[in-house]
Amino acid sequence: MSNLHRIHWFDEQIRSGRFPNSSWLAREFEISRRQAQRDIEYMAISLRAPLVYIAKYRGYCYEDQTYRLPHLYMTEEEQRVLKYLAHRYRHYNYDQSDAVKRVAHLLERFTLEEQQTGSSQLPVFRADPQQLQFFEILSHAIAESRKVHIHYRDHAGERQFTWCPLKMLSQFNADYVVGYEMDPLQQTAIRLEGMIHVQMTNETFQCQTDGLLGAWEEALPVRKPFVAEIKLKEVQQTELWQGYRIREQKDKVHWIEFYDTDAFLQHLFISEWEELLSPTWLRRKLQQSAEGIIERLARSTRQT
Amino acid sequence: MTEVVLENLIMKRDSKSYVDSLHAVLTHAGLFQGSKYLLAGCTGMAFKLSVHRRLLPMSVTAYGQWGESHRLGIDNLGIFTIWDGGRTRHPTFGYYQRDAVSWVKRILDAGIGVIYWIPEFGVIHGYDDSDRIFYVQDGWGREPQILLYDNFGLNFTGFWYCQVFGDQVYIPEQEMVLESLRLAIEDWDIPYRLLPDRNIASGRLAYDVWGQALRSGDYDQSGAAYILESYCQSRIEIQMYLQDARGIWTELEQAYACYEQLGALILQMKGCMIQENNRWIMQADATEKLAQALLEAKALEERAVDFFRLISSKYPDRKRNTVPRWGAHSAR
Repeated sequence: MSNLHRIHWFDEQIRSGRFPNSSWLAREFEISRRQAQRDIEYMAISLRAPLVYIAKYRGYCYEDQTYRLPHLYMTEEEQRVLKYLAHRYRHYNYDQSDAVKRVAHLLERFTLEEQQTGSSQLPVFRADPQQLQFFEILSHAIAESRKVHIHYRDHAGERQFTWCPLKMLSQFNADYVVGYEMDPLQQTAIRLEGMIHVQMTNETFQCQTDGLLGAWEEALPVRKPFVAEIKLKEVQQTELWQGYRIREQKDKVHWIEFYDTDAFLQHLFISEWEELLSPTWLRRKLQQSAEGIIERLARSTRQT
Repeated sequence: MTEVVLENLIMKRDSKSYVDSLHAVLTHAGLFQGSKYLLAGCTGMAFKLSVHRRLLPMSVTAYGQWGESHRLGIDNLGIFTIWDGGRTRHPTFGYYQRDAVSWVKRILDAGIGVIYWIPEFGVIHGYDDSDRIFYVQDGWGREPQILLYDNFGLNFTGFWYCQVFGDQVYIPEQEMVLESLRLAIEDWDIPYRLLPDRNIASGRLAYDVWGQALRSGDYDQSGAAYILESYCQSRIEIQMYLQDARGIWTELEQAYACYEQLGALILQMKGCMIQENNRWIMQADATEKLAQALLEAKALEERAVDFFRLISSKYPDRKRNTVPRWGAHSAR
């Protein structure tokens, strides 16, 4: 929102006890009084600032002295932009993709934290407002399994059709949506760039997406996790064992997935488990660590 | 099920990661007996210099298409090699990956280590079939890294590469040295090794690009230090390599003299870096000094390469004067 700086200024004036009003705001930023009034209303209503007008000082102050402007606040529009960027970053698989994916993860939580990317350069995407709009509509349609009516233009000409969207995809610097027109088995991917108009209809469709989307899944290979075979005291009822995903279980033996060895080793040190059956290299590492600790402890008892 | 771990195969990072890996593997397999600088010189790796416009740290390994750059050096040692690599985004990657896993295991059974791009280059020195993993050394830590068969070749760079070695034929020392000088001349003359990408310059042009980056101030801090470290190490390797080889031709004596002078400059250049938190970084006000030193270094190397040219012109160069039907690059 472009009035961010005005809001902040107004807030500062209040907090320094100067009792600002709309004329001051208007004068300071050379806007109309009406506009200034709207800014103040925005603060009071959308930002829920406890503004109260004190006639004696002809200005505003905070009823609740402890009120602080939310550090990061966003409009619906900004949230949508971030959501779109998160989607693009998530599908980025070229240079620095690890760093980029972490950014996507953060953006997904709609925070505006400064991301220390250091020397790596984040890729820049053009966020065309019309494409953002289509992205929005299509995402809604996918979520609600609603058909969309698309007016599309490509090298073959213009055409209009009703379509069942399944998934949004981003590859090679373009956005695609995967779906089908009639036959769920004949899926295609069409580009957002080629769309002239997209409209959600009230018709819904049924589609078992999981198996069929296989062909459209990212062609890029994904790093697989290590798997530890651990016998726990009790059979786990959920999919996770203290944050780690359980791939499979047979009675009390669970196959646990992990990516970071050191973190998992630490976890094994502090959690309850009965037996570590595999992999051998992990058992060896754990054993070496444990032996190292025991030896160090023995050293100190010897000294006392 | 089987577990194979090669004993006494230890890789340590001193030089370019490929040289370190190659040295570890060949020495362990008995295919090479000599120092790292000798290996770096014979394979031409020491002469390679590549610099990105913004001094990114990846410059140090961006000296060309790896397959081709390394092949010429290994050929010069007379060693049989099989290698594979490429981009992991290719749809066929999965097939080549599974294939590579099987021949890497076979070679490990035969008792020879495998060079692998982690990144940077490292050595696979063992596998465990029951856990489906490889043991990989990166030259830094004492503990080997664990790599799942399924993750072979996957890393953040998008490239994969692995190389194995076989038998050896004998190549007389003089031929080896002559060919290494010719590789050096090639590396000096060719400006871009990764076309169509013109952001990374090699050889003579690399000096210019480096100086420009320093003067403009727009460069990657850690990359600048890493490039400088690698450069100093490789130029010292060349110096020592020529010191051993200078008996063969008189011009080599003169080329060695150039590199001796360069050695003094390198001491100055090293002074432009300071250690902070166990890492080397560029000193803030030293960029002009470094740029100046690089200019002098470039002139010295130019002279040395001219001496190489004199030596090379004395003998026929069948490899380069007979261009095969498909051109100078290998048919790949």
